[in-house]
Amino acid sequence: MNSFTEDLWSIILARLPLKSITTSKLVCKQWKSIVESPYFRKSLYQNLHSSSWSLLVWDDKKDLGTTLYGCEPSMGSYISSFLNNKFEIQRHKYVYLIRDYTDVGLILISEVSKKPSFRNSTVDNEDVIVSHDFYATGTDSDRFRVTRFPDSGKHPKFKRACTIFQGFLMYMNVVSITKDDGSLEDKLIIWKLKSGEWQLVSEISADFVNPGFDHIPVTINSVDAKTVYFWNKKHKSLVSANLCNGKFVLHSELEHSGRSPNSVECIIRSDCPSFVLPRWLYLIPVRSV
Amino acid sequence: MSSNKIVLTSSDGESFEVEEVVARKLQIVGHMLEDDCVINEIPLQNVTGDILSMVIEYCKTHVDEEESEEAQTKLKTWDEEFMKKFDIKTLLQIILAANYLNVKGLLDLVSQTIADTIKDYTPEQIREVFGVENDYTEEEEAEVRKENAWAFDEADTPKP
Repeated sequence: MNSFTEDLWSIILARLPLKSITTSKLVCKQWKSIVESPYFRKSLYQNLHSSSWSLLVWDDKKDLGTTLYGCEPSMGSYISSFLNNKFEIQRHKYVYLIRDYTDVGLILISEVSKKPSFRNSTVDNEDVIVSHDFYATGTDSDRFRVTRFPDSGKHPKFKRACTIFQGFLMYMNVVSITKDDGSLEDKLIIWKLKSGEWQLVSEISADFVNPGFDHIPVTINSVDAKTVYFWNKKHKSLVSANLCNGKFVLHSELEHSGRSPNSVECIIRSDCPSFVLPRWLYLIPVRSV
Repeated sequence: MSSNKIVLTSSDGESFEVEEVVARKLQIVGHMLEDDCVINEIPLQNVTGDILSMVIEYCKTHVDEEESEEAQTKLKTWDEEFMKKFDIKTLLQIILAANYLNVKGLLDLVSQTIADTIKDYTPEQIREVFGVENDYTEEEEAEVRKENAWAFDEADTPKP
């Protein structure tokens, strides 16, 4: 197959599912370098147009409305109507906010808050993740799973938000941890949901979250879990954070790239900073060593 | 469009007489014709006759790309049936030809078909099919596996 150029391999490999692409790195060194090249990532995202990374935003004007980016509207309305039907019986107890779902169709996240009961006027709010397996064929109870956040009961710095990394649901936040000497320390912690259990991915000291800190956590790089992104409210642009060396880099040039980060603004406005990787984010440089 | 005939000749000397509109689906031919040369016979050095005949069959079918949904569905069904005829080795020959002759639609179709075929193959199977040599040392291979463990660990399919 000497006549096969790297371009031609790229064309074929970019049409594989993400998991197969990753497996194909094992074939040989050339394939690994193809798959990891910027050119390949570009062709990959061009192919993703139909099943893109998408995001859903809660629209409080409608009962269970969603705004859907990068995907056909039919999917959003499908989920809405599905949830409406599904939870009709329990509607007196819960309010559901659709957050987002993955392109693999496995995870649907929503916020559930208990409405005050008639006897008690205190509002008992707890964020949970409701997962729904669209491909499951079993009974209804198999298709749904409710998972609590790993920092449940604590008061995290930011609104709880999830993102997707290599097929896993990821959660990051800044949480105060009690040290051995009893004092509190802020840590930026990233968890991964694996087989229904939260696993600690990384935990770094969050000294950078001083009172003037004007960032909102956005997402994790889809190919490099050590790079996370924040939204800088003042500069209205993305900031990437390298978790290995703690460096923050402002990506203001993206504002002029023609792929407007309006969707990010929309999320911030909706008070729901929870979404998966927007399609244009692949243009951001990966972690610099 | 006139019904000019053009003769395409394969690397092994097989000749195919096709209408100009069909030949133009091969962009490499299209460019030659645009250069204003009056050509009746075009030698195509990198394609054998058996493969070229498949490419021509595809181009003939796709010569009028109608917009209507019905026509599109019909073409899609034809594409699927067409692809079923070939084993992976032949598909690789066709994709090389489609790339060289610059037939965009066929390139897309074949690359998707190959991807669909190999998506569940193990790296070993892929190497065998494509004749690619494993140039990793044992340590390097273990390293790649470790870095990408999520994709290899069957028990960890991304379930919520």
